[in-house]
Amino acid sequence: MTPDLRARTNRRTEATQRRAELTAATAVIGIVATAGFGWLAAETYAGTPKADTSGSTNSTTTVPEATQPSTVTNPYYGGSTNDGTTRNRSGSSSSGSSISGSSSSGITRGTGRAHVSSGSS
Amino acid sequence: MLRQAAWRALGTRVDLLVLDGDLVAARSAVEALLDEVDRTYSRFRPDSELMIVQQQAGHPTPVSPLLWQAITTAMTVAYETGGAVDPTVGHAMRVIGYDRDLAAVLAAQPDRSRNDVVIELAPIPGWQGIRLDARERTVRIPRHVELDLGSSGKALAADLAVEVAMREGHATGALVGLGGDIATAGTAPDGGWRILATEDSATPAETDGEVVAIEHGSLATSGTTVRRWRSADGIERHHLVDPATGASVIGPWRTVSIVAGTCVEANASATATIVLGAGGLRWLADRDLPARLVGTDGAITRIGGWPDPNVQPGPAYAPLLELDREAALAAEPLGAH
Repeated sequence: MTPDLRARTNRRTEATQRRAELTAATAVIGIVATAGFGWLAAETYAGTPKADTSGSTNSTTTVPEATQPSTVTNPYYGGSTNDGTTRNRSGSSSSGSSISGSSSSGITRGTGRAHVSSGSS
Repeated sequence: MLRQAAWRALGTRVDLLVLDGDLVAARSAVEALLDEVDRTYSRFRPDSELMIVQQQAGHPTPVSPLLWQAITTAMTVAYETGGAVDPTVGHAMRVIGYDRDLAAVLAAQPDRSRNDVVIELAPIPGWQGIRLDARERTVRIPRHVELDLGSSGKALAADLAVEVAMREGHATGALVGLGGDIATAGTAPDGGWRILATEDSATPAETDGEVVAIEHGSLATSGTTVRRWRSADGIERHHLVDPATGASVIGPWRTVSIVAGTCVEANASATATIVLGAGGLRWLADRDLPARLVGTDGAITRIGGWPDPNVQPGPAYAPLLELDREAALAAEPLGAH
């Protein structure tokens, strides 16, 4: 084996070893990141018992800037109540204050006489 | 057992339905709540808390929990609708003549157009100027800004009322309708809460028409056809104000009904769709809410899963029926009947 060939073989061996290390490191980072994201999601999901409810109405001053009213969570806008609990009503969103398809109200064609009428008043 | 009561409050019809509960207790609680709402944020009562707070414009003013909730709800609605539904329309409403109960407005309206009277319309000041302090529960309304919480306020009242009806009536399910703003809670009766979709909430429920049923959530309708009057200049107006002009909205939709998780959300979405005019349908479609829109020409558009009464609901394999009905029937899953 010539010196040139030996050097090339050594570089190839080192590169293979380096690749194996990188692969292992990437796998470890991926597992840690997935677990961390899961933990973060669980901790911040308002519908779980773990949700932090300490941020009650009296503890913070909200909406100092009128351009950020979403800091006032509003249960009647599909958000959470001021005590941090979600509104216990089917069909309401627990995902925040944005208007979106939060109804999932099971709307169907009604059969029979209506109970009430909805129209402008 | 489903029991029902109806009466008038807040200048409109109240419907209360209670499933397996105490209707008398539920009604008493709802009446008390609506009375509190009227005393707290009516724009037509000089002694309401809102009107008193209004007199303190320019200064941070402590407010009751209910007024705080009504104002923050209105602010949230304004934010979420990009300002299309804005509580600072009070002055504009007064300018176009809606400064009293509608019956009084109609009694005093001119019977024709008047060239000798000019009213000055202007863009509304905008909700961004309102300052809230949650720690002190104070509100500072800018000087010369008048609030009208009517749009979100009535829907909020429906949301609150259905909760007290459930609680005080010890019901398994309840529905409260306030002039077309309908909130439900708990369990629905068999077949769901059946609601007649109309343009005028005064239409009797037994009238033939398009009936939908919801299992939960709320249904609200906004429109330009019912609450109309002639302003001092004799021009016909309605109560949905375009924030950009201060005048009544002119657009392609005259009535919009929407189903959403809460009545506030449904009402805000319906009102915003009308106010946004030509862009309203796209704005609404992005929100994926079941909706029924009536155009100014009377044409009806249904989106977001709102059922079409002209289309028979079919089983999941309905497309197969179009190809080969017999084959599809033969392949019908067990227990389908």
